[in-house]
Amino acid sequence: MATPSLRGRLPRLGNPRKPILKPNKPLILANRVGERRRERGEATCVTEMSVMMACWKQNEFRDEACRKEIQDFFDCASRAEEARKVRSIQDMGESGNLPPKKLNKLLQRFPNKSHVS
Amino acid sequence: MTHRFRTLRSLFLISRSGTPRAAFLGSSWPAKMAAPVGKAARGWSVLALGLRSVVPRLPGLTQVRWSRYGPEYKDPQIDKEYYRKPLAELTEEEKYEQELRKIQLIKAAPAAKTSSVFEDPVISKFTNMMMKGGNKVLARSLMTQTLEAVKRKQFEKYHAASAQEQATIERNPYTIFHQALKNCEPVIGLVPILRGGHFYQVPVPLPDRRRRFLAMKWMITECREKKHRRMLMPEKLSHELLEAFHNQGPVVKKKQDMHKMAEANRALAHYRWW
Repeated sequence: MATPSLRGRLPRLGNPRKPILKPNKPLILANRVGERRRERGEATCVTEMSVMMACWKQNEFRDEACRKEIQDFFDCASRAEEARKVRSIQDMGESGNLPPKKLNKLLQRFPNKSHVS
Repeated sequence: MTHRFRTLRSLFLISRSGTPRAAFLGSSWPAKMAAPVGKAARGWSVLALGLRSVVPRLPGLTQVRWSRYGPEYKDPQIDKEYYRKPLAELTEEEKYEQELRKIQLIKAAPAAKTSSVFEDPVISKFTNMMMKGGNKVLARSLMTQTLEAVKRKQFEKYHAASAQEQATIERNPYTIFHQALKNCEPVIGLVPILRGGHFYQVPVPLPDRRRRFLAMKWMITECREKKHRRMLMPEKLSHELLEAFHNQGPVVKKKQDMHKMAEANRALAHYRWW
């Protein structure tokens, strides 16, 4: 789909009709793209945490009595961390386009000239 | 990013006490004021093999505190066991890595890291955290005095105890140090999360390095602040380490307070999104 036309849309001296567009910023391509909307994550390891806290409640917060639950909690936390890392690496090599952070870096290095030098 | 850059004016101030000064020890100081700036500026543009020379030249801003090593430099391998493994036991990747290290450029090892048997990364980290104003000599001496004090106290207890108790008394200061810090590590942490205009303390699992850091930080803060004015650091630190070793004392209490708060706020765990 071609870009919609800009002919006679802006308030200019040569334009006889009412303006269609009244942009508050200049219509120039910026050297950055907008961020991707991040997905709503949910809390991980909540069950292990609650089991561990129940154990603490029973044993007056002594760590030696709750070794097993604490170890389970740590294992769950490390597994969740790995999964998150794998997911983020996977996501970045995505559908055709670069992720926004890398795109912004690229545009910083090769910016769009908005001036005639 | 901008805090790493200095204007030329403050570069001038840096160069007064920075490296170019060594070159001008014998000469009259005021007369050579202009020269250090020039020398420093020229020093940054020296093209040497592997050194960072391609630097974006922004007028009025010069880089300070960046590593002089380019990205092709690899970290040194301090561990002797890595090289002692017989050739037959190495996997393909390890053989490839060892061959690669013969050709790659490697950074110089920092002065505090040795490959001696007495090298302990936990002790080094703790010493660095105790250090103030770059005075590593003082921090290291305090650390050795602390370990000595711990050992002395344990030996006194040992000689005063009966035969059955002597078996239970731990005399190695390093094991006491490690066990004490392990006992001070929190299992779960609290993170302030903004929700509906208010900050809630949400219980969150902490990574290993954060837990170790918190244990050391609490220990050092406790010893610095809550003591008698004339008490020296090794004395106080040895006392706190021994108490933490037996799961008593203020640092372990602080850890348990953190756990109690996390337990009280366990309903807020769903505010986390990771």
